[in-house]
Amino acid sequence: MSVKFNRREFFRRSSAAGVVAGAGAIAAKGQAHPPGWAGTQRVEEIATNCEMCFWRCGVLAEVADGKVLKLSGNPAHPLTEGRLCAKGNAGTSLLYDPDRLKYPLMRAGQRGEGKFRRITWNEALDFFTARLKELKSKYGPESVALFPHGVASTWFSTLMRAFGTPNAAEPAFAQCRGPREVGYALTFGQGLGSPEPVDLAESKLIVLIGTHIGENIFTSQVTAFAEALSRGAKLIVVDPRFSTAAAKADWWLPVRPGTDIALLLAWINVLIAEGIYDKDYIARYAQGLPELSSHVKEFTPEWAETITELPADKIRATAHAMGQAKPAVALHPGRHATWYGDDTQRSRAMAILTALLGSWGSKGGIFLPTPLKTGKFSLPPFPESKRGRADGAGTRYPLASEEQGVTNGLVDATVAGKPYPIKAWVVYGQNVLESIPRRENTLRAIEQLDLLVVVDVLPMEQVNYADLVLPEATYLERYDMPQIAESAKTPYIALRQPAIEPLYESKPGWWIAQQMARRLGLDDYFPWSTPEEHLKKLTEPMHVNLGELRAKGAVAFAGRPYIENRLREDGPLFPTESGKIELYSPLLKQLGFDPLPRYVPVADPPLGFFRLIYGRAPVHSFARSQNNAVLDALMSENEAWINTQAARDLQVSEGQEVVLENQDGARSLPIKVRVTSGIRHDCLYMVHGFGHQSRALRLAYHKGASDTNLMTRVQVDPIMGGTGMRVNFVRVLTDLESGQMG
Amino acid sequence: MARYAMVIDLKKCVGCQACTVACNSEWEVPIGHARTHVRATSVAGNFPNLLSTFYVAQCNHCDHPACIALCPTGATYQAEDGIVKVDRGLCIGCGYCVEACPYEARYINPVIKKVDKCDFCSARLERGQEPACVETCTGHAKFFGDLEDSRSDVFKMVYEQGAGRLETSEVAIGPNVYYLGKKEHVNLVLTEFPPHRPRMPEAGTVWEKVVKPLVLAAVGVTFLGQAAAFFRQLMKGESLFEDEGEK
Amino acid sequence: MGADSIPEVPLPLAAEQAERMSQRQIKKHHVAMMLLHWFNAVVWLAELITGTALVVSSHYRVMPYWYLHIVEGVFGTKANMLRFHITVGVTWIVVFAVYAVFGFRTYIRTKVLHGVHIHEQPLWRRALALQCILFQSEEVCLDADDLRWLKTRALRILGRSNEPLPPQGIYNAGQKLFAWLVYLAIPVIMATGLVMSYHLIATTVVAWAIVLHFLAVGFVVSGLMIHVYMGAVFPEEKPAFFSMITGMVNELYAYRHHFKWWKEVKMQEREWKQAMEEGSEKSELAESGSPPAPTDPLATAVPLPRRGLAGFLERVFRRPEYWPPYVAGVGLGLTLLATFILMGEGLGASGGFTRYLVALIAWIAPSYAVHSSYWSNYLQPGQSPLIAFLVFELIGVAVGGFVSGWLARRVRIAVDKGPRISRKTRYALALAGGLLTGYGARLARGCTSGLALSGGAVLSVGAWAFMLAVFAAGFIGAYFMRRYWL
Repeated sequence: MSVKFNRREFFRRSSAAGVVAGAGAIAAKGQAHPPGWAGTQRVEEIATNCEMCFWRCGVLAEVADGKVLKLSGNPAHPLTEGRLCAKGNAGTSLLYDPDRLKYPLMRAGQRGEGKFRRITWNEALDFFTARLKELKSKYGPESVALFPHGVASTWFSTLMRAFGTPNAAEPAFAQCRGPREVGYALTFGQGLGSPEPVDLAESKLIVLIGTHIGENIFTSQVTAFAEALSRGAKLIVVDPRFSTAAAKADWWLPVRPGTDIALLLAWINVLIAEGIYDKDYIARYAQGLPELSSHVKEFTPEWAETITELPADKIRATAHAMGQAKPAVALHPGRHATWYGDDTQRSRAMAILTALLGSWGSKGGIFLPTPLKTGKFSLPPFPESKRGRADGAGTRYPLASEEQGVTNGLVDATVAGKPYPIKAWVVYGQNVLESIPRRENTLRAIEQLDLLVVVDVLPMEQVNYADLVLPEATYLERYDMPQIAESAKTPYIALRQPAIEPLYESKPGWWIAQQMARRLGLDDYFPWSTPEEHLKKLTEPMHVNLGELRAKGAVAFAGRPYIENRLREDGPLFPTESGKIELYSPLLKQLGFDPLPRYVPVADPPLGFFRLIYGRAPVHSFARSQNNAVLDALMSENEAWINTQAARDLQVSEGQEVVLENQDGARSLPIKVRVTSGIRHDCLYMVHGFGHQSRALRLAYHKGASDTNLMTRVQVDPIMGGTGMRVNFVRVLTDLESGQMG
Repeated sequence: MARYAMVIDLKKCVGCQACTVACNSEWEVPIGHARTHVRATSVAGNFPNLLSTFYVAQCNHCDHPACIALCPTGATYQAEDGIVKVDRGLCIGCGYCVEACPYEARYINPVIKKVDKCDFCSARLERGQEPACVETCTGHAKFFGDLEDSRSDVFKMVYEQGAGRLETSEVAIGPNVYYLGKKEHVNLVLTEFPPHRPRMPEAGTVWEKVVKPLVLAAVGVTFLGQAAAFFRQLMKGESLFEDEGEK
Repeated sequence: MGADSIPEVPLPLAAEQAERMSQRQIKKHHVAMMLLHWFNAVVWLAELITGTALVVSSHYRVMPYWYLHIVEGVFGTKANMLRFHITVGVTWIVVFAVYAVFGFRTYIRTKVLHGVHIHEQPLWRRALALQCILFQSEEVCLDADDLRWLKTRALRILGRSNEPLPPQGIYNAGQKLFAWLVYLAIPVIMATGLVMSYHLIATTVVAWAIVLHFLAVGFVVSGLMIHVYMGAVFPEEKPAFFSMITGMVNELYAYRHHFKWWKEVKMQEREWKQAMEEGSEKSELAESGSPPAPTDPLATAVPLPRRGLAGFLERVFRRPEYWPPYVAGVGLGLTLLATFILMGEGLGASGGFTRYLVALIAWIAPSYAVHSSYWSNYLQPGQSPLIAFLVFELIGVAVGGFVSGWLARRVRIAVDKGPRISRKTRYALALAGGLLTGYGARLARGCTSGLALSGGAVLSVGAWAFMLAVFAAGFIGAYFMRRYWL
């Protein structure tokens, strides 16, 4: 050891006995934590955005020695401002999940058996290419269907359209937001998009219909929601369950499931009858008020009371609250809207209510998207398909989005082989067995396939049925299509960029798509070699400093959220046929549907059965996150919420394990009962996404029960093809052997 | 000197556990443990007039911490700013403080085998950052600040808006995590998650009540005996003793 | 009393007899035993000072706050103090473990296998033997005389009895009792200490370990107080204290205080003398060249060294080719002080060698050196690693060493080695030892020069811990390596 210090230092130290040489090294490091503990070593911070769900909050990844130590919120992100939910904070547990798909795999056993052999990327892509070419020559390019989801699906959509198939469908439409988008577009001329442009932050009254903010965690939405409540905004929650939001509500309306339209009509009735709607706004922007007035005349709160089981005075009181707070009423349009098959009409009713309150385009209501100009490569035109789409979008389901497609339509077409055979599925970023109801039907469709290619991060259920499995890098290891958030109040562009190199042999989605394009001779559709190049082109007209974008992760632009901010270049305010808000929809009339929403009773649960309702938990994302060790520790299984009285009648107790059986005899895995007075007596609630059947998900396997498994029936929305899923009924079996009812 | 405190706004907390996970990854808390976590109360009342809220549990950095007196080695101590900290270099993992804490805010970290708990993210404070839980809180329900600074959020919430402490008549040791919200919500939290009396583990009781007096007595008696002998030696003179064997 | 007649009980001694006996020294303690004793003493002192300062809680604290503050001040932080406490404790355990393992083996070999036929003994003797095996020594086993001794001793101290003390073996009953206490408490202290240091088994176990640790130490301390008092303060037992330094006691003391042992020594002396006489012819035949070196393993009469300054100087200057170590030590200290003042850093060796090596590596494989996290520490852009005090110091050491040896006419080419090993073995061992030393020195961030000497001089706790460990390891290592040197 060379004890090295200068002379003065020496004299100083030698007089102070107890200078500890051995401990000096430790003390110098800051002595906060032993080495290896997070919080001591912060080497590099990479700004990117999250994909634990699809809100895409701003994330800072702290990276040292090629390892992501910690994720935290990115304070520079215009929407989420440094806040991150439990899932976002737990992202590293996805990155380092030991069950991740590590190598390209080729099926080695029967479908569903889960036997694979490891192959190289070259083998995998060559095989994929050869099969696609073969199918194209045999059945035509339309025989290949894409099931995409998420941001990176852009690359695969481009690839597949270039290949020549129009068949692509994501569950975000027909199993989620589709009815809402269609319902609002029918009324206002445009849908809502994501993130939802609800001006919670400025609202005086928040109305949630089935929306469970607080259990559904979209960070910035929760922040705005809580800030509004803290500021004194009132809250109306319509939910058969005493949700987190309901516990904060000024009015909780435990509506009888399936009767929401009746409630909405009664509200509209009160607003019009008492003349407390926004008359100027309606006069200026809307058409169809007379038809609406006469339509709702008979739908009084008293009428609704018998249907919804909500007291008429409460309905009236809440309508008055809306009338007072208008236009700053944030009537949340919801997100997962496929409930009973009448969902487009319900969304229409909500849109009409929003219009009557003058909230659309007003402060505290629903704000307007701000278009952002983006640069585009000039691609050759996509080949036109002569045979058209197979999923029924635009035909069987006249108002279904052709961009997002109808997943169930595509599954049905595959099963039936009509209008033409579909022989290959390429699944990217979704779990077709969990996200699409009627799992048996989906499995039947898979049986018809010559080729099932799954691109995934984790060995989800569908992977077991795949012929070829391509391991994708997680969001922390890849570039994705940047997010152009036009529907945010402060629109922004946010980057997803890799914090570290992909682990194992996983590859980013863009790379896989680009490689396939090269092999299929479709290079022209991918006229860029690196994502950076793509980003440069995309941001060309935005005047964004790319260095800043990379460093901060997102760059914001001035928003024009309210009607008074609109510029001419933003286009027509209400791009409907009439150019006005269509309270009465001539288009629906023309297509043979009700031009004004009407309450049509839905089937009640038979005796001894509950209506199965489902939702989200704050620490999980759909069926994606159950294998995440950190989140599993917080919530490893779901529970069956049963009303206290109903539980007493059934003689089931808190924590008891039961099996749920639906009207068609489908049974769930064992699930624990939560006895609570916080749910109506006629329904049973469970969190979606549990009960995984894939053994390769070693942590999540067989924990809790799957609601999808119990959805053997759907009520398809004839307008846009959405699958109403709250039409299934379950009973509770306590004696698991004999199937004895509790 | 500052007096740090936290306020949890129950009106804004949605129980999302973002704080739990942010804290866990900030401090490498092993899976299954937590420095802070959120628990829902049960649903009280009769349908449809129901009540429920969340309890955010963590170290309260009490004015009169029950843990410090029980820590044998002094590994647990209170800094001048009121933050109760653990010196990992001194902790032997005996768990006395874990028993002591009325709020059950401590756990033995199975990896390092030492006690761990919230320290208001002292290391982050030194870097000028807020505690990880506060920074990430999706409902912006968690506030951190100095109770001696009248401009701080926490000052206003505690002294002007009446944020309350989770104290009972039995256990009142001055917790510095305050709960702001409807009275019935705060009461519900207190009813369902009341602080327990500080406990001493059996080993500690035996040590204090039996072993320590025993050892002190043994050493004391020996010392007195020797002192007596020494006194006698001085009185009689050393030579006397040396010759004693011959007499 | 003649040399040939050995009395059965202690008899009164005539004045000249007593004077003669007081002049004669008997070997009581093996040097290893003495080292162990003082090692133990230092460890106990250090551990008690820090251990009592580590109990801070008002519920369990035994020392006043001012004491805690002083001790904490010496170590800088309590955490350092705990680290020190653990390091010393673990070193202690390792030394004792080695001692116990080899001691036990030796005991079994000599006493049980070749000595006493235990199954022929009555049951109570077997039990006694069991006790001896447990403690690895008959020396601390209590017998009937001991019990009487305890009673008499206590009564005499209280002034209630004038009865003579019953005869005692090599250790008196008080010492034996203390040994009992220590033998019982030490495993508890060690085990609980390890449990706490490494947080073993479970939290509850640690919770109880700390209580047991405290209890066991408390009991030992109460005994230790008597032990120290008797050894260091009580006038009658003063020779016992000095025997722990010289290894010798005078015969008179042995006769009066440890009569049974004295008798044993005398008997063995007589047996040995007889054997010598019988075997003198044989030994004359056997010897060839080397002088006869039959030494009595137990008792040796040696001439008393000269006392006072004259004796000191005589011992010091016995070997004129070397400087007296005390003078050289002071000189080294002054040299060290000078380097601190002149160069701003202390003496060192391994650091200098490291720099030579870095220079070599940087010359042969520059890019490797720059990218190595260790070697790059020594590489500053534009500066040779050889521009350092230690590099030149080492040259000076070599030159100075040569000059010193040349002046003292010690310069010759030779291989220093033990008599029984070949040169090759010596080279191999030297290489192995060198590798270990070099590796260890860089691991410890210094060698005996840089860390122990320079660090020790500025009272670095690390340096002192290092020295303690060096001596402990040397003690253990010497046992294994003795055949290569003797």
